[in-house]
Amino acid sequence: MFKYVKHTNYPINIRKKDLKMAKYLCTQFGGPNGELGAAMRYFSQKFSMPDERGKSLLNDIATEELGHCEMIASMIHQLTENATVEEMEAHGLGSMFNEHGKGVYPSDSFGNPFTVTYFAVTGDPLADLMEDMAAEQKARATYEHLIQLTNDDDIIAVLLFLRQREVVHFNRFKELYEYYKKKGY
Amino acid sequence: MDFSGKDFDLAYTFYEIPKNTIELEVKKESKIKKMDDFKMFEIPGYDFNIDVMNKMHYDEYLLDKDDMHKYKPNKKYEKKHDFNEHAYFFEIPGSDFNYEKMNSKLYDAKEGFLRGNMFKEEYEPYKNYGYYHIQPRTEREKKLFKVLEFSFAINDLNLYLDIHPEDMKAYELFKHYVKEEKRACAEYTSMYGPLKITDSNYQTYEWLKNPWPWDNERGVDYV
Repeated sequence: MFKYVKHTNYPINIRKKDLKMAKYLCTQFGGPNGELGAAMRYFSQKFSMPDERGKSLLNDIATEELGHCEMIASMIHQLTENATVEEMEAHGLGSMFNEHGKGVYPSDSFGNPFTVTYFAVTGDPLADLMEDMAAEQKARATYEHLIQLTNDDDIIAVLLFLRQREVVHFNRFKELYEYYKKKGY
Repeated sequence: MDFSGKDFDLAYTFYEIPKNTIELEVKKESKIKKMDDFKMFEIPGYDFNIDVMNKMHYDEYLLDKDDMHKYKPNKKYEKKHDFNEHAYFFEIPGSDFNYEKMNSKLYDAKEGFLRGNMFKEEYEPYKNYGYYHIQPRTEREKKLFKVLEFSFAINDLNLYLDIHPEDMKAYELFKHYVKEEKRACAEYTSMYGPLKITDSNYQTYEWLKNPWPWDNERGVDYV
């Protein structure tokens, strides 16, 4: 089971309203390279990992990614909560307001809703881990794009932290992949 | 209990990466390779390598050279190196033992937390962005940041130990951070409300109370 802890991995305190960034950030919640996809990918793949190392690593990274979903969603919430309907419309969030009000909905930055077709479960540890490594790289690249799209230190600090976590996760998956390769799984 | 302090204002100080970072990392790497020959918590047996032991200068890896100005060597370890003196390597480390400096592969909890990575060799900055140094402004923030730092260190070591369960040095460090996190949580929750649903040593039910982690403004100095 999961137990909630009432704090984030890294402080989220966005002071400036920025609707453009809120729109872009959406994708790291519910987009193809986002945290929700990552969490669900590892959560689903853990059941077919062949030994204790794989089971624990995928379980624990999935848990961390779920925390990251909350961080991204918190940023979107804080960036938009004081916006007027007119402001949302002026920054291309009119449709988003129409569908979801001020709610935070997992979608990509175009508004396409989250879908599990963003990830695969093959039941083959090597194939799954190779996908996981690629997913971490794609998430890293997306964070780098987001960093280039803003000058707000409150946002960049969090994005740099989350980007670095992708680097760490990639390394762990790679180590496990190489270990399994040697083991002949 | 009053959760509505109005003094929340996180300050970020931007750090440029020093130009000599790469050089420093190379130096550290060579040191790490030497260290790998030695297992800190191994009980000495037939294959115990006394030569490796004698060649080592404990303070040299207890303290990273670039951190020398920050940490004073622990007097306990300023001794001549003969076999009996080395008994302290196999002691159960006490409260004065510097866990964080013991393992030169890792940043300490605070720096690891700020960088998002505990592992020196694996840290990859993005372009020249470096990382942010967050300054807590209030007592409450200070106490919460301690929790965040230790829980980060636990998280990163957890992932590492999942695939390196045989690394006893890392496990000792992990246990140390678990203790520290418990202490930091107790200190925070005794004053500012629960972090886990089981933190319940209060007169009334506090769990539902604001702030929640996604709240800000409205005078909330939570993260």
